[in-house]
Amino acid sequence: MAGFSFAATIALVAMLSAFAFVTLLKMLDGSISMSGMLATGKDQPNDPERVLMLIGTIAGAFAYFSYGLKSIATGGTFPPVPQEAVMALGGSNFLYIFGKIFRPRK
Amino acid sequence: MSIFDPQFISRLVAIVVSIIVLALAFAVIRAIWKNDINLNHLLSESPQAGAPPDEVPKASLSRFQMLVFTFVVAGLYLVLSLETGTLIDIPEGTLALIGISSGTYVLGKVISGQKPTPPAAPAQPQPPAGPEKPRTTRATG
Repeated sequence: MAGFSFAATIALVAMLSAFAFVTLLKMLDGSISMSGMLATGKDQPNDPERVLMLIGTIAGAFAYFSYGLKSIATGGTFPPVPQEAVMALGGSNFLYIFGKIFRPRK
Repeated sequence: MSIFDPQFISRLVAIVVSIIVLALAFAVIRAIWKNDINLNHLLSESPQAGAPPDEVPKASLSRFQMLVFTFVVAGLYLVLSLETGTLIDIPEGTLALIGISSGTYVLGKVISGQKPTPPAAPAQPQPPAGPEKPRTTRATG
């Protein structure tokens, strides 16, 4: 039974990785369109609040993942998120929503 | 070991359920790979009302943020659960991160004035228009 459990776990991890890999591949080859993500409307300049949110998202996600992997050595629990990080992310998302409301869309 | 042994039955069920779950996951990934499940608009905003049907909608940053956080939290949960051998608790801060991301997506959708469109109801077949038959009335009295 232990052997089957190990094989099933490996297969499940492979399937989830394959899903992430296919999504990433489609983003890289342009099938999943990412154009206009940083602007309010098409053919408009990039908005600073969107750039800020993008940087915060990628930096925060990478930092949290690497921090979580390090926590394996110290008991294997989800690492706590600092209150300041939650506030920073909430603030950047608030700016994004604020810009979405008040920035005119052409 | 007889086939009525509870241990044998539990092992059999575990094997069958595992095979079914893996087969479902494989079918979904295969359909995505062959474009039967179309992910092209995974990050696209809903089209604006009155927009031409061939216009490609722009990508949404809030959808991208949700995608990234989902992959990070799900991946970390999987790694830590496999490492410890148990289902681990998710702290409130992590739930707050996911909540902020999902809330931003919902707010953005409300602001854009777009609601999830329900599946279109099939059109009712209309009876062919023809000359109206005169109503026959029975004389009474």
